[in-house]
Amino acid sequence: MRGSFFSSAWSWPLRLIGFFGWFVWQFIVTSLQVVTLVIIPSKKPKPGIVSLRLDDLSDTELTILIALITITPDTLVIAVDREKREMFVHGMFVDGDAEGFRSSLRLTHDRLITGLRPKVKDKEVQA
Amino acid sequence: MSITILVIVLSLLSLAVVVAAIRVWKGPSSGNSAVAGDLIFFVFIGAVAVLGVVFDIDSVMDIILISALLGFLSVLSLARWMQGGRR
Amino acid sequence: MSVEMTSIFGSGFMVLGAFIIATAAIGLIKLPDVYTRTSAVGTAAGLGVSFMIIGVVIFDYSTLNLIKGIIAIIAQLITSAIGSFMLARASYMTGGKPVETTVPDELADQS
Repeated sequence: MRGSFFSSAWSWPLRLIGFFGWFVWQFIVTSLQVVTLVIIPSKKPKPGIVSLRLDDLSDTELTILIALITITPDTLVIAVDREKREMFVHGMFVDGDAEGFRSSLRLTHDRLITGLRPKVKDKEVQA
Repeated sequence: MSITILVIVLSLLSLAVVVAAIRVWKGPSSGNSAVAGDLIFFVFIGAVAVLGVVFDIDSVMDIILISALLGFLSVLSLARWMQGGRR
Repeated sequence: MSVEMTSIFGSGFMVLGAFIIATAAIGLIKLPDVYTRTSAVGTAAGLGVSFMIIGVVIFDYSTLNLIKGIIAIIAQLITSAIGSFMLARASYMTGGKPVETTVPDELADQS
């Protein structure tokens, strides 16, 4: 019952607001991470570049996802291949852990789908 | 706004301008210079905000709004210039 | 809000914003390559300028100023994201190499 409400179109405004709030929180946290990285002299950045394939997004959603990834200061989209649906993302705190970084990007992508699409499948709903 | 706060804010902003100007001057590639120039533009928005509050200018919010809307054009044209017109 | 509270909150936001912009400038010196520097400027473009705008809205508060401030923050975030993306792309296309400590560099492996 609960799952069916959260995947129906009625909950769309709620999901949109929820995604917006989550994104603002994420934005503030990552900004403060970058600020502490800069002001503490012993800290060094551990950057990395990771490729990400996203087959299930429309062009609009892909553009929004690129904008959101670039707005959060620790991640930055460097190159996009629109035909192959592949993008290359630069992260400040990757620390050699490519899979962890990629799964965190996939989490952003899942939450974006949950927030933007009026109807989602039950398994796609992120609480 | 007290004079102490004004001095603190303006000295932080001038520090940012000086450091960014060093990066514009030295920057190994034109990409580095363009990034530092971008930062100088944000310092400009901050300085307009502070001075607008101090001198009680009515239109300060409009100036900030227009700057925020149009500021990326400079970076965009710099990026195009770096690529030599290629896309 | 009383006058003192307005002054304290507005000044606090303005000092924080200027501080974040200054740390971004220090990051331009400290960080090693153009991509990490773009990320550091991203903090100034997002949080720094947003805090300065919030400070202005608190100091001369009106409904019109609040609406203008919200629009300005959103516009600033979107346009600075486009600017950062275009700059990073241009740097990559003109042969800017990331620093050696960039550990998984799948862009270099791919091409």
